[in-house]
Amino acid sequence: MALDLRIVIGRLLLAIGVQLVAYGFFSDGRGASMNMGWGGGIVAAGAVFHLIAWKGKTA
Amino acid sequence: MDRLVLAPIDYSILLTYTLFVLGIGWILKEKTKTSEDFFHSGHGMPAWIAGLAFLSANLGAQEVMGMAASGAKYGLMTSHFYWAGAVPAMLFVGVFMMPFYYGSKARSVPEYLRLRFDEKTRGLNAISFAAMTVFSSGVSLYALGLLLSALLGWNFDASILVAAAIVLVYVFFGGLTSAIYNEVLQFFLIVAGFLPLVIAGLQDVGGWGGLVQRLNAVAVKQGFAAGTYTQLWRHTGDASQNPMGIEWIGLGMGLGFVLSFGYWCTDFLVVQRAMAAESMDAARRTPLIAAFPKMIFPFLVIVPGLIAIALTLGDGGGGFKLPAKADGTLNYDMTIPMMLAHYFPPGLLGLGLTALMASFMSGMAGNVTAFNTVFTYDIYGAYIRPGASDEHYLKVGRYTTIAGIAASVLAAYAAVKFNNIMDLLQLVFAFVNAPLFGTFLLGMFWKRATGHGAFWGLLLGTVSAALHHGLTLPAHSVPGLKGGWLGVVAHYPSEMAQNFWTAIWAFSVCFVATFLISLVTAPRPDEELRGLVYSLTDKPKSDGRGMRPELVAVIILATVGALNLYFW
Repeated sequence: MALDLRIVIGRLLLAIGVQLVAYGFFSDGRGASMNMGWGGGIVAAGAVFHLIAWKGKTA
Repeated sequence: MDRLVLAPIDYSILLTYTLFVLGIGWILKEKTKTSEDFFHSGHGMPAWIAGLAFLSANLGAQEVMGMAASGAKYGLMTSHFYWAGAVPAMLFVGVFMMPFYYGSKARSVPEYLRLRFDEKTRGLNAISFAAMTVFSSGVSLYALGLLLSALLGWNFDASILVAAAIVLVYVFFGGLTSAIYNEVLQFFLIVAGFLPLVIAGLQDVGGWGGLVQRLNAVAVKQGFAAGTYTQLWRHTGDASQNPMGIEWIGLGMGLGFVLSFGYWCTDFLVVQRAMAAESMDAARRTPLIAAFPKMIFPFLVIVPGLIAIALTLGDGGGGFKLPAKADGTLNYDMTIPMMLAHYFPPGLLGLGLTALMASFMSGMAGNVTAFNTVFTYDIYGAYIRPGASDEHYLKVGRYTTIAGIAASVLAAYAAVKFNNIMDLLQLVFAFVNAPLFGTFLLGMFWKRATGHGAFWGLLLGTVSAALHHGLTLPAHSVPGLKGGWLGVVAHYPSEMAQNFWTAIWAFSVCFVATFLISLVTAPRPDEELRGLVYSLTDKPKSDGRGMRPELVAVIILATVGALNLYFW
């Protein structure tokens, strides 16, 4: 493949998730909990894509 | 309607996505060296990528916003567009039709028609398809400009020009690969952006049980039986019993058979994604992989509509109301943007809007990549300059991308001037796609079907669709673009019922005409039809990796059947 899409998806999710978590950290109330909670989930999903790509390369 | 004010974090998320999209195009520029790379991704797509792109090609923002709007207007019956009107057709194209598309080495759907029938059938399909894709892409741009100007107060011209420029950059450099990659990114953005919306909305209405209770009250208020908004088939015995205004025969035949098979099995926009797969097995698995998330998507895009109408018209309130149009009716089209604004704080709001923007742009890119392929191979390469070098066709493909996007921008401005262009486009789809499925069904499964039969069948099917539309009218409409322009001989309870029956009519006339004309014209010898017709083609053998496509299809069919029964 010209470009490993699993890495691209992983990086996009990480980039978005980290921003949401960071923004949530400096917010309060519902904005804080929603951004940190969901942003954290997106970061985890991004990490899973990196892991899948890494496992695929080393398999 | 109040305008949304975005925070810097929202812009930052939007910018992050835009940079990724442009970066993909830029990186793929170096890898796109031949016309096969540009138009077919070098036939190197793994099944999972092609599968998600196959699904996302039909997940433009108009579909996403439209399905949520229909969810609010018609209730859970909108799921018919997925569980009856998509999944069975996706299984059919994967199991039965993909061996012909992929195995025949045709580079496009019109080219398959040339191989199977003749040049004139290909020409007719290529020209109508190219025109449809440009219109469709333009309408996508128009809707994007309209949404951004109404919701965010952005300048209409700037919105459509910037979106067109971004799509141009990534398709011009990376071709189909770039479009497919971005469709897959869009899929994940929609899941990430809409899932929290569904969760927050369901929490607000007291979970699924609370939602059903509120919708039952809405149904009774509207004069329907309780359960009408949450059951699929129970209230389709008579068209007057459900808000869609359609009975089960029209639903099953019109949507479940003609329109869905006509779209998923013959529209090059989606078929192109499967044809880019790395092998025959991957191509066959592509629609099957797409069918899994397709089964689940109603919960992501239709449920927000259900929640919106339950909060707007149901008992118990919740602080959310759908806005009204100037004539006082509810503006269902604003369901998704209004829900995003209501439930999401800054940050998540940026993510939700980015998912919508991604849908608009990838919907447009899908049309543009299908257009540049069909124009280059089936119009330019067939009639203007056949036999040129690969390098030449690659250049033409890139220039066609520019021309296609420029034409889309013009179509977007045409849509501004003619406010009925969206209705017209839907009509053209029904006129062109529905009869085409009749042509393919006979072409692939009956070796006696001839080129003359196919060509005249297609033409007569389209003409008969126009006649049916011109002689019928939906309830509460005036003769004109909605129908009845030749005189009204029959009324339908809803526009949707009229559309479904127009499609059934077009398919039936095409099928019968192709059959009869084929019987009186000379068929092609069997040797010329090997690999193009079911009875003359060796059945594809599985590569042994994973489950056989047929078995996967049976599992999906059983699951979708169970969903229909559960929500009966």
